[in-house]
Amino acid sequence: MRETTYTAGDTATHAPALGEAAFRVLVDNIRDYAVYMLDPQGVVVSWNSGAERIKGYSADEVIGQHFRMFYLLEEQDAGKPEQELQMARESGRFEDEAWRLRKDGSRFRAYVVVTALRNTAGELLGFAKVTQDVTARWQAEQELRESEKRFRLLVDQVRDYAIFLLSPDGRITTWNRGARRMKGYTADEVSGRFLSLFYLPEDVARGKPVRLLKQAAVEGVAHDVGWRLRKGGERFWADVTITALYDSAGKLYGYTKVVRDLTEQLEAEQLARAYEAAREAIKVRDEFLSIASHELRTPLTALNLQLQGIKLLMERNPAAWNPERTGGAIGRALESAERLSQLVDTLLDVSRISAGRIELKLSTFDLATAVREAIERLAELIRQASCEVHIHAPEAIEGRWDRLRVEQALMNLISNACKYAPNSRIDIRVERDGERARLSVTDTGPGIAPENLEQIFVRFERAVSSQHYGGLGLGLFVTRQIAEAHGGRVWVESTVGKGSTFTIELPVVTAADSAQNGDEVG
Amino acid sequence: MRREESISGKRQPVVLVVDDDTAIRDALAMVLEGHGIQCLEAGNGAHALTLLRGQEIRPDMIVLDLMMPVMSGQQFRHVQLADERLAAIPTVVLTAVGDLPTADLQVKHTLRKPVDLRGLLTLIRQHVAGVQ
Repeated sequence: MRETTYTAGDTATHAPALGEAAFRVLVDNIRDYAVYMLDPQGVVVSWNSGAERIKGYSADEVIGQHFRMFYLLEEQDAGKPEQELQMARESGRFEDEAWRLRKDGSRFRAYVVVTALRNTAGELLGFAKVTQDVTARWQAEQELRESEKRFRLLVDQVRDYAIFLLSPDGRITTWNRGARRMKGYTADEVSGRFLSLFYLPEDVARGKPVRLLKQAAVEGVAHDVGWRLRKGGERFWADVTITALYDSAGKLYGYTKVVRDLTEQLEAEQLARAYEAAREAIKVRDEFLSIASHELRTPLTALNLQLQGIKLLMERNPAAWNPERTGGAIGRALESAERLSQLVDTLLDVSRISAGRIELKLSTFDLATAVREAIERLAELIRQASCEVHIHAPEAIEGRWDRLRVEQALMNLISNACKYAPNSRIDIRVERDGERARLSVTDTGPGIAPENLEQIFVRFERAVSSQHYGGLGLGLFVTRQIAEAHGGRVWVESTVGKGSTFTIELPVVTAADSAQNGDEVG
Repeated sequence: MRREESISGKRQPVVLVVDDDTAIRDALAMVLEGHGIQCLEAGNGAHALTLLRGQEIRPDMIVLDLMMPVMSGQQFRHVQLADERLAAIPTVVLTAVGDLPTADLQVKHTLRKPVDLRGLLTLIRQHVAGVQ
């Protein structure tokens, strides 16, 4: 537009050289600009083809008319045409963008430059007017402004996301409704503050906000999920995306930050997990109750049958009941009662162990001797299972352990071997390997499938259906708890069709060791 | 396993008790023998089959537990039904598990533990002659 601004000086210097006629032809042929002259009073004195095209009037129609006819009626009434000429007269030049009227009464957006023309003596000769129709550009700009306004409004109205802009140095420049709601600050409170305002002090100390900005600047975007702070200091679990904004020249001019509050989601997930865990615990407990009641029912059934039998037979033939026979029958009933009582003790013990309350009573003893004694106590069980037990215990291994618990663990392994591998050979080894003692029980039974090897140490789990085997399904679980309470472990090696070896490994700690370390195991 | 002839010259009734619990077998044997029934005992299904196939004795009735090691009551029953010499022996199931499917076992009766001895004796009298 500037290059089309004709000044009095231009006219004065170039017109004579080009010739008045040539200049007129030039101006006349400019089609994109209305170029015309006014006399000092504002009456149109020349009119080019651009003026005719833009305003719709022919030269005949406007020459001799006052130029105010191009203005909107209200502006004519307000004296705007005269004011503009006045300003051009005073300052030499007047520039404006405003609405003008065409001949047909329609409006167009006009960019107007009015220049006062004076002779060398300074007398006003008239005005040069150059008008450009910028309606199309104005509309495009207007649409962009509307679009930006709508977008701002849209962003501002988002409630569930905090969406705001940061300056290149990480200071807050905009603030939407979601940000206000999520973070608790008003726009005034945060405007110009560094984004570390929302980070936990320990994250700020580790430079997290700066690191995220740098990452966004380098990679274009940075994503983070973590704790952030609300205004009152309350934490919330946030999903944050920071995007770098670059202009067309590649210069960073800021960042957008979009934050989602996932606290409720997190809480819901935690709640769901807790609910699942509780359900699982209830399921385990129900299984336990079901297995326990079945196990209790067997000795209870025996006891019940024994007592019913005594009663029935005594009623039938009292004479046959001498003290010896009575004593024998009642003795067997008492044995059943004793079994019941032992089972109840076991259940209570398991319940204690399950709750992690296993207390070791340490004493110094020889493991090989303890193993032999435990096997003696199981002699009846081994005989019933028709198993053949071989003990390999070449040396005494002295250490401090809980004797009853170690025997309990070993007896669990041996009774399992009798239960799952009857009519087979069982080898029991007691060995020392440096600071570890190992008790192993090897059977020649059916073996355990590889996929079941880990599961069998879990409470109430067993590799085979409980339909065919009694028991609580707790033996290996208890054995593992006992081994671990001693700082040891238990594992199994098994080949299907060949048999299994269960090994308990315990640290060998002597009385001197534990006195030296000043701590008792357990 | 005492085998006696009764005074009338008829054979003494015989019942086979299959249960893995010794105390339960003992109690049942005590009562059955008190009623003039000879009691055979087996600790599991496999043991019972050995007794049935290996000896001349043919019990008048079988009292069968279901949950047993080595060979369960269900497995035993399937083998028994498939063996024409054994299939016809009336069988009563004792079970601790109330909802076990026993329909396919085609047994005369199912008694839940703890067992009512009078009920069991009534059942035995229905199927076995000569019970006192």
